[in-house]
Amino acid sequence: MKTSLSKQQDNRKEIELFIGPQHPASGHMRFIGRVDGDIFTNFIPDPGWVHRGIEKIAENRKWIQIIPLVERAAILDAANMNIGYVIALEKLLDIEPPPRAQYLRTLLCEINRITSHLYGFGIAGIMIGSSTFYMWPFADREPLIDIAQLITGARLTYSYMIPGGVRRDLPQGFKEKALKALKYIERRLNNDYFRIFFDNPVTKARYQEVGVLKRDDAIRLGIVGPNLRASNVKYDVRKVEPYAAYPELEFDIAYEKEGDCYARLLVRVEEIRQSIKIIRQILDALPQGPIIHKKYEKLVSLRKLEEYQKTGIFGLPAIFTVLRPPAGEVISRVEAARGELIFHIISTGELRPYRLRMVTPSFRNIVLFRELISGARVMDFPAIYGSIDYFPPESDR
Amino acid sequence: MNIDEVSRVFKDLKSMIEPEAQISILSSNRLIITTSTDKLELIANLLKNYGFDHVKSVTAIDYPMKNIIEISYLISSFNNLNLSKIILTLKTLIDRNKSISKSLYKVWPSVEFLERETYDLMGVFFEEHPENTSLILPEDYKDIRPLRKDFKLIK
Repeated sequence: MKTSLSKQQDNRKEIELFIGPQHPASGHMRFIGRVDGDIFTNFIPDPGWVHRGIEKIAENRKWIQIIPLVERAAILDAANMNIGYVIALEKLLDIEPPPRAQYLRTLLCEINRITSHLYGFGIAGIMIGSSTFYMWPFADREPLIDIAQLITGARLTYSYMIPGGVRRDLPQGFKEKALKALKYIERRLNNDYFRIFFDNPVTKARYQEVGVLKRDDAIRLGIVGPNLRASNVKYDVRKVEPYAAYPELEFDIAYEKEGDCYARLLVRVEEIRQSIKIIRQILDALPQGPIIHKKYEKLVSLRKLEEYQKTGIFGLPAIFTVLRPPAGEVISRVEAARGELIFHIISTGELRPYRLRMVTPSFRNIVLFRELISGARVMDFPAIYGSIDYFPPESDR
Repeated sequence: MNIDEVSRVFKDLKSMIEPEAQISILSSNRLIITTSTDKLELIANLLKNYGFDHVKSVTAIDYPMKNIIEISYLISSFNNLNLSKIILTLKTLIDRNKSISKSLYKVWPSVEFLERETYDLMGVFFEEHPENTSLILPEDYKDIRPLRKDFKLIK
């Protein structure tokens, strides 16, 4: 976070251009560019404006309290943040959730992936001046948020996954409602979105061959997620190191070869299609059985157990507040909506983690601003920013 | 990934890096290499030539009782699909009072922002890093670095 203006004011030809930190697009973030004519000669991302110290706070919270904490990194992608931490914690506790819980976790993660990509589309749309394509994806998130609410009881921050399983089973009549929502979003995506935005000559003119990221550069810079796959790298954690129910589900890795802004958007379009495919498979093949590990079922009071058997809602066992995983070191990785999310946790067998390291996909993609925008025109800045799908709160943590 | 492949990579790495560094297995698909700070760049170059092409995380852990800071680089590969199934931790210990380490920017440019963040929040100075300036904290920040253990949230 820079607090002073730069001291190089001698070059009269170039001017310094500040963008932000008052919410330039997807959150509070500042950029400092040097402009010669309308070309950026240098462009520096300056994050830190929404830093909340999640890693430090985690060292002062009990293991179970960290679940809602890590979700705050990206509330519109809360399920994926949640599963990354819970998988790490389960590795420490050496416990595996039952199959039904694995499927329910995957279901929520994929719903979140779609809503997160739709959010990204909306931001990308308004950034290049398409206010219709700002309103549409934001409104179309609603049916999906509604079905997520049916599963979890919350719209955005679910805290749905707990060590050993999930907190709620599906309600009655869920499948029909979910299929209806998927049908709606599929129709919108494949017809309306292409007609008004993706096939629009204005969109193509702004996006195609702009902000090209070559394959070698993407690997060298350690880019993740759709931005990596748009540069023809077929790396997806769901395939490389399958977790939850992904090993049993059929889907393809979405990728493009061009590496430009348009390719990055098309990868997200294809990912939404794949997510819809995954959710349909889950709805068809959801295994029967418990949603929480047997060992934990015994920990709750008789009243809570009865409620769980009657309603499918599992109340947290009180003993979770004094959870002490054995000492050790774990590294977990999951594919969040924006890319690979890493948790590196050191436990000393205490009530709280000794160190929790969380590396979010947006943080690893931050270098793209400098690499893609230096040398680009000023008008290309919003196009490139929108295509990266960068989310400052997720990056700053 | 089956165990044979991991153990093959393990054997390859073991013959490549010993005696400058030690390798051990943390769990399936997770390996750890420990080395000293002056050998760090050498080992990193060997690993890069073997196929590990990017860094996923730079984790610094503060141990005030032992007066050390442990720095871990989580390394993997995008190009080589066999190696991408492994996350390799390259570990080194540095003196907590001096807090100086060697940057691996020349080996893996992907460490740039990760090392900068570590400098910012943990106060570890990486020699030869292109930009050892604040990233998240205000640039005139003078207090104890927040991720150090002697920085207390509630005083």
